[in-house]
Amino acid sequence: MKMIKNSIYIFLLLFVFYGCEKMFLEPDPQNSAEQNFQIFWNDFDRYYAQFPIRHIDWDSVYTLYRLQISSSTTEQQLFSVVSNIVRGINDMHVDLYTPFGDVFWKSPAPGSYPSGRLINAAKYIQFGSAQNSIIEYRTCRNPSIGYMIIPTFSGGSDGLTLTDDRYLVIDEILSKWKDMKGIIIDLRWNHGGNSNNAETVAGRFTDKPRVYAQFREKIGSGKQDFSAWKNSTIKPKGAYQFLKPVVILTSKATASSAEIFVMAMHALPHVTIVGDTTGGGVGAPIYRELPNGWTYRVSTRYYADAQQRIMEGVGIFPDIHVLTTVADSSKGIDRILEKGIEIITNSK
Amino acid sequence: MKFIEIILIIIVVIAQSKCFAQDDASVVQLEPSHLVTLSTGMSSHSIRDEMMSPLIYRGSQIPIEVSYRYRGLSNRHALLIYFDNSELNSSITGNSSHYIKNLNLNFEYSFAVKTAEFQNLNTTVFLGARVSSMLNMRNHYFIQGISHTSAEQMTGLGIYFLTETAIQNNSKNFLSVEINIPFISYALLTNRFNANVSEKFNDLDFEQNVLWQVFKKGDFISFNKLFEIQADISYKLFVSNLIGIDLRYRFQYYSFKQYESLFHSNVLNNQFLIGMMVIL
Repeated sequence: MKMIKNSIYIFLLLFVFYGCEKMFLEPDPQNSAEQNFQIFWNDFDRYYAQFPIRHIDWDSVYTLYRLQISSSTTEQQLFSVVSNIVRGINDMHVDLYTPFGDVFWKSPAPGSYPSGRLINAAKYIQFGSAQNSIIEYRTCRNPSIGYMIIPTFSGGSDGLTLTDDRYLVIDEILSKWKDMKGIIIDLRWNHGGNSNNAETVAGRFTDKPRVYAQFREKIGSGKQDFSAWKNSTIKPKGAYQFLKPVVILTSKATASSAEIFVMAMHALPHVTIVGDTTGGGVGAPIYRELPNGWTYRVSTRYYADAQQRIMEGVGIFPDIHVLTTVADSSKGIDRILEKGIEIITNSK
Repeated sequence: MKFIEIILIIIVVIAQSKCFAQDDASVVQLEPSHLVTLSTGMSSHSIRDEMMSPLIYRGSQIPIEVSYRYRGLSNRHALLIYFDNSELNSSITGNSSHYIKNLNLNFEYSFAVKTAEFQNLNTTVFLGARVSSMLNMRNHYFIQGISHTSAEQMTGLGIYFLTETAIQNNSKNFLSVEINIPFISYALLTNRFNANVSEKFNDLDFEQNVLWQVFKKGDFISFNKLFEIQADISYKLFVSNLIGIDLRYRFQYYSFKQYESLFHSNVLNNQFLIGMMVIL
């Protein structure tokens, strides 16, 4: 009987033990305006990699805005302060998500921007060709020119899955297009996604490994804690690599992992970039959050091309700069696509 | 769930066949014996992964545990596999902006030899070692469905302490207490600064087997990087000569230092398990 009692005591003790989370985990930080501001500022101070290249003095930001925060600051007032800071950074990969609204960078693409889309497709492209949900592919009116749209590089970055196998359709497309004179790849409205997918596709166009970009990343809490320059390398992938002329169409809406793809393709001798300067941001962002539930992104790297020309906030310059104007658009002319077709047609 | 059903059926079939074969139902020979247990119940997780968020994330799930135990005359062997997959939320932000899918996998092998016996307390003490391999993988889902992965994977060798106390003299039912503290572990995914940055990941070739590459980049660590403790209290109650019930409470806590000890992954797991035991 005594033993049974002891057993009951032990199990009761267990429930007490179970309830003692505080013994092992410190409580959550306080959800106050001052604490939220401090965490927000600390996160950028610790992780954000682009202050030096954007010439932002983060300590001055603290001095300026901390004075506006007190124990009586409301959530709405805090939103006003934090959103001003986010807008001031104006990085494609720094944004803020709150119940008061989401705050994004100011895109360099003007409101009316026909260079960022396909215009009058029927004039240039044959319909009825095979399609895929990830990569649309058709032929131009000249059937010896392949035309493919990659609208995104998203997908496949969940858990241990690092690439999205749907992009492997590129092997199927290129095996059909071996005899094409050239290929146009339209990225004009590709906002990015997972850079592994971009490298997966780009690897089908190179015959040997090539360094296409370099980056530095924030690797410590100190303001100068950056890694040395690291190389991003494109490597041959797939059973067949397409080494005939390729034209990449770009615009200011071509961004993030799509710019990884552009830089990778830019390193290849048979590739020409046509269109407008790209959006200008790779960043490798991470998500962070505040005790009040707001989330935001922080860029942890800055990228440059193979010649160490920094592209963050600047973009990648095309080999041939062409714009489709509003007037062109109203006449059903896609100047950028026309230029791409012209380059392939005239290639030897 | 089919897997559980199949295991249950196998256990029941084995138990039934043994029941019919048994002549004397009053005799239970526990030493030496082989015990197979299938357990489930409730697991409760509290996690703060400072590298990812300053907040504590909590959640519970129905786990599955399968164990095999050999009770020798003077030693104990135990093999155990544990699995659960739960969703964790912050108690102050809910799941609107960020939630975690948390995968727990444990594999353990314990060996202990009888080191002391206290007859007046009906208690036997065993001392030995445990090899345990544990994966705690967390997919952090943020707004827009974007996810970042954070994880600890440790395979450790620890000191293993076990006591068994019979509830009454000559009783087949007993209470056991197990404590394991790993003192050296081979840990993967160490020294991460944030979701993207770790010197361990720099040269990964995603075209090759990533798991193997990560495995090769592990570190041997000890108490300087990892403090872990597992404690089990269980009560084994035999309802027949061949079938018993195992009531188990397991407590597991570890604190794992990331990036030059700047961040900690603090993981607290509580498991309440009820299992069906079969003596083979």
